[in-house]
Amino acid sequence: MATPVVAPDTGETARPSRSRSSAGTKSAVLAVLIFIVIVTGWQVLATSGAVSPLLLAPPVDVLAALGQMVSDGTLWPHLSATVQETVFGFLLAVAAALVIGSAFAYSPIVRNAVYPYILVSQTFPKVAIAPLIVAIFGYDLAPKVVLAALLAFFPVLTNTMAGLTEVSDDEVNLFRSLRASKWQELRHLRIPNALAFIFPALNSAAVLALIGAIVGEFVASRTGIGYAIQQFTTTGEVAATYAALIVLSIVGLTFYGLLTLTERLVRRNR
Amino acid sequence: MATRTLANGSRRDTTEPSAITARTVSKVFEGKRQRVSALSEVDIDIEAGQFVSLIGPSGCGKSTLLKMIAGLLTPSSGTIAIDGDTVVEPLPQIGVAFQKPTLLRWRNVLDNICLPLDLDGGRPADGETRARELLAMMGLAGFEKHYPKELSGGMEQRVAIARSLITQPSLLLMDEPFGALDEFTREDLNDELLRVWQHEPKTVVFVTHSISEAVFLSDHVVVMSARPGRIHATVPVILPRPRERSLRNAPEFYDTIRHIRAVLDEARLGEAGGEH
Ligand SMILES: Nc1ncnc2c1ncn2[C@@H]1O[C@H](COP(=O)(O)OP(=O)(O)OP(=O)(O)O)[C@@H](O)[C@H]1O
Ligand SMILES: [Mg+2]
Repeated sequence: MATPVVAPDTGETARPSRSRSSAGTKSAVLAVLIFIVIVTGWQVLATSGAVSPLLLAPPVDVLAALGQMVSDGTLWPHLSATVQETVFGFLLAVAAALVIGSAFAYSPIVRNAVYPYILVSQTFPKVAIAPLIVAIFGYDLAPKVVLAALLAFFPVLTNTMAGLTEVSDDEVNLFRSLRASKWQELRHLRIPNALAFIFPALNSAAVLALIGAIVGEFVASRTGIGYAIQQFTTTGEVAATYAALIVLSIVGLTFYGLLTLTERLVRRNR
Repeated sequence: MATRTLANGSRRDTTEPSAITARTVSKVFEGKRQRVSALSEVDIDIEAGQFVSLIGPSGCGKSTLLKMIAGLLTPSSGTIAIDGDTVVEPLPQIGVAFQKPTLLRWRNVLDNICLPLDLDGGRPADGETRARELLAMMGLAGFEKHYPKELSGGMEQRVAIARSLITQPSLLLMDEPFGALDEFTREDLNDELLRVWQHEPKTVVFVTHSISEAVFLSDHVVVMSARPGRIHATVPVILPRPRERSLRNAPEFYDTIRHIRAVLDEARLGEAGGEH
């Protein structure tokens, strides 16, 4: 079974520096054009009657539904529940993965004994045990946090392990020749090396945590965007369903942006 | 020559150059599929303060020997001693420039050069000044804030050399440090290296594939043969010091090159001539 190690960001991608701004403007223009085409196509498709209004609401209605949710305040409890579940699940997963990944990196014995079980646990879809987890942890925050954490855990684990162990013999020899202590080798070689592996994994982990939280809400919940989507679908509020999906993608993008910002701060000043 | 004229008091300026002895040193690498006999019964005596080059065909064990002197590899048999003490771990007075530059990609050039200081109790007040001086000496002034990925291979090598010099080691181990440079830059840096060596007395063990470089720099050239790696001959270089650029045009310089080329050839042929 494959261990999905996300390629580390060694910062070696070539970046055309001279024509960067003009190329940037061009892609921005192109992106806006694509957006306009999609939204127009969507509007046409939804209003022409080609697609049932039970499946697709026109963007104008979706926007109105979104505005409604924001102005009457019904969005906020759902949003805050989902964000909380995702953030807690994400943090739990990252903390556990960093600790366990470091332990594995430092003790091959522990790693060889425990890692196979973690691998096996990866081979079946964890979504399938969502009902079980709800049964164990109840209907509130806990089961969603657990699901989010379970999904987010693995990529961070493998990349922490890889980042801490995949240093070259030459690098290790350099530190040995400088009589570095184990702690110095960790602080000045292995951790900075691992960061290039861990940050890309955090992006996947954030997305996976969000998926975990939504699945948890689908199974059993009284709040959350996932719960809201289910409600809207059963009551046939198509525009509201799409509005909720848009909120979800905004949540995802926000996590992504925050992680990118954190990475810049952490990796800039070392 | 070799008067100790270190300007400001550094914590290492009391260290005298080290003498190196190797006695019947052999190294066998036990691989999964095969065992490689990298070095066989090597004997060397390097006097304190000497500049000695190792030269020989690729794979004859030059890097291996250098790593053993550095305390990074243990001989399979025999002993290596520095100033009479058997080497079991890297000693504080060594500076190593590896065959690959091995710069840390998250540190800029200045911070890479200062790494040895950071690992040894932090940068002294004049640490960064000295790093800048070394960088300028390597012809890279102004590149302090660049990251390794922004440098060419030869520039990376020069940064690695600056890093190996920052602690003012009394034993400098250099593995093809100028291998990725053009002839002229290489000659410039040879001159600079000799200047450092005369200014801060130290023993240097220098691996190279360039006969002229070995001759220009060294007191002795150790010629090795391959499979298994052995020392074929140690050739003294009797050329006056300090050595100036003009020496590169002198007939006696060419004579020595010719001589060493002949010895190398002999080493190669002896190898092709088979075992006894
Ligand atoms: N870590 C290792 N494991 C197994 N074999 C090794 C190892 N390091 C070196 N060798 C083998 O030992 C022999 C000598 O290698 P070494 O790197 O010392 O050669 P070298 O003289 O430095 O060559 P070059 O001039 O190409 O740098 C080679 O045959 C090499 O394959
Ligand atoms: Mg070598």
